[in-house]
Amino acid sequence: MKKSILPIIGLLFLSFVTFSPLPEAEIKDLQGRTHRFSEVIANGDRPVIVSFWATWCVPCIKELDAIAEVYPDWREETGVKLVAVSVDDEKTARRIKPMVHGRGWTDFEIYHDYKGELQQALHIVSVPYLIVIHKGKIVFQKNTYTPGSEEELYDFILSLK
Amino acid sequence: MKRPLFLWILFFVYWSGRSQNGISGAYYGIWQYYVPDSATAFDPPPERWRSMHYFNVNYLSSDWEAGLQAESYLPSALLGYDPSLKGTALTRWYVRYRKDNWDITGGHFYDQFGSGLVFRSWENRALGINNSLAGIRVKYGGEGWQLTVLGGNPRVGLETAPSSVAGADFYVEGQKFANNRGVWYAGLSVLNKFETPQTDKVPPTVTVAGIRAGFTLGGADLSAEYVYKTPDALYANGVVDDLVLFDGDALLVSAGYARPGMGTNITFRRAENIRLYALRELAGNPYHTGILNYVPALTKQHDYLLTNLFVYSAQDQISFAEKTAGEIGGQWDAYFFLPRKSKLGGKYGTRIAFNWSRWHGLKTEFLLPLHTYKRRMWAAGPLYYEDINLEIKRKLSRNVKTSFLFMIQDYNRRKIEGHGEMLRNRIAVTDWQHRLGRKASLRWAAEHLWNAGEEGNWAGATVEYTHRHRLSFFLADRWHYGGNGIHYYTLGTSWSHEGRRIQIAYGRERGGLICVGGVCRYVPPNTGLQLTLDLKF
Repeated sequence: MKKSILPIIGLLFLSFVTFSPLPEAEIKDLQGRTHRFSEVIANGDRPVIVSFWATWCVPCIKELDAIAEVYPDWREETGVKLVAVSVDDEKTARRIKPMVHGRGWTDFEIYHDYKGELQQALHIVSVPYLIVIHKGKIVFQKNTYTPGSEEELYDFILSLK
Repeated sequence: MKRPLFLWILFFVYWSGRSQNGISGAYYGIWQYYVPDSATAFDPPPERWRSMHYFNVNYLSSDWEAGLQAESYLPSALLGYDPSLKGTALTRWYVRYRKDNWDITGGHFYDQFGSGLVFRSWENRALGINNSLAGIRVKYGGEGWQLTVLGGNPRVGLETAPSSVAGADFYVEGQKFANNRGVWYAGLSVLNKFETPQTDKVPPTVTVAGIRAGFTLGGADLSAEYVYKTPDALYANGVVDDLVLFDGDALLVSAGYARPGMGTNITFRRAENIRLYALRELAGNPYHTGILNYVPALTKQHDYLLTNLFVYSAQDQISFAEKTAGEIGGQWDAYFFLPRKSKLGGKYGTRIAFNWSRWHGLKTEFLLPLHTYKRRMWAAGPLYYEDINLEIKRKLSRNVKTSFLFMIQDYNRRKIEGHGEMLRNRIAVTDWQHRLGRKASLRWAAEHLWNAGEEGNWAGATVEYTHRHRLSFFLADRWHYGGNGIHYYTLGTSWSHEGRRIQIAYGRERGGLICVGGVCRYVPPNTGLQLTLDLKF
């Protein structure tokens, strides 16, 4: 027990050094077209929010609902783009498209990490998971959603130059 | 082995971190301390402290990628996980090269052909599944097509199995269809497993092959996949049964339609003896060790306490003991958005989700003297599961959101858990979320399950308070007041910030199936303290 804790304490310290290369992976859009992650996150000098979600994940859906309400304003003010990447696997993948339309998330770009390649590469073990990419780097990440935390996210987006 | 490996990984991470050269890593760990509990008669195992640790390090450059994963089970895995997971091992390393049309991987990798009915290797830590292949994979593709060829040894426990698999998948998609409004695709896949036969009647090679096709046209989509497994010996009660070899197959058909404001999908599946394992002796093991393909239960994945008490898992297997074989059924989903400021939609709009699933065994006739059975291809036999549920979500004001769920559930406990009767449950849930100023929030849910049979009623409640979007406190309770009177509770706190998360919880686990993504793992009843740590660097 004690032995197993030591390296973890070491890692805790290391974890405060953040540097995040971006992986490549193939993901699909709602029409079934295959895209590369690097193409999907292209947004010039403007930031990109990548939100990992699933049709069965309640906080994920709450977060996307909350952002959907203010997203047109965010886009206009900062040029930020939101890419919602579903991590659903075959059990629930057929629900992605009806849910996206049925919830009115039509302003987002929606993709499906159908093989889980992107989650694996980004070490994502649970959703919701949200990252902000700016100028080719991950500059922000969070792995929970609480009501109102989208405002904190937007404050961060505004702080990016 | 144990300490030097950790030190090496630490050193590697530290060194590479300093050079900031395309390196990323992660750590995920769970500790559990078991305590005796007289209410559930839970007696802790001799090793009361148990922990599981996963370290990952990845290197990325423009064409090259490499990574490793080390896992530690100290002294052994938590209850409910494969007990052969003990000690520390380097469980994954790989090198991948991608350039132009080539994508080559050597080492341990994950992949999936089609819907996964032919082949899927993946990692799911909540379920304790990791069936990576150790071998070589080559992908070559061009505009709209890709060929994958792979071969290797499947992972079983912390090692690789003494069997091997080889497979190929060819996929083609057409993006210019019906004036660019549509996309079509088609695929062919095959997987061979080679295993030393236990007897001379058992085939050394078992093949699973599938064909799939589909299209999307505007808001409509249609897809189908058919998969066939060549005859293989069954395995039951610790013996390979080679009297009669059985083949298997599965058909999956799905159709959907979506437009702004609504979406719907209908899925049908028939599956019979389609699961394939790295080793025959692993057939049907509760930990999914060595599973090679993916047969999820196609039902709604629920997210409340009482809607997850009784969860269906796919029943494609042949059982001579129960005289059942295969399953047939489907589900229907529909989502609607009632617009803002409309009569029904209210000020902020209302969202409605409907789901109906129904699963039966195949209609069979068992001919025991001949050790075989007959079944009608498309006829439904005994009911295994039915779930009809409706969920309505509405934002009431700037700070209050609410949802209601009602569900009718029939659960064939005898078939799914091996004991008991058919449970007929009615479940109601209400969920409320309140924003308290700009930085805090409160969520609570109340649930009830009505059961007039032997199970009796349940009540459930959840309360969660979050402060500054980082620190949260939660309490959840499932109370079997119509049965044994026990409270199955969890009490805990978590802190998360920028991709790091730590959680401490104390609770009493009821035991039963824990399901993620349509795959279920049996967890024995237990009580204890749990600590979870999730870090990325």
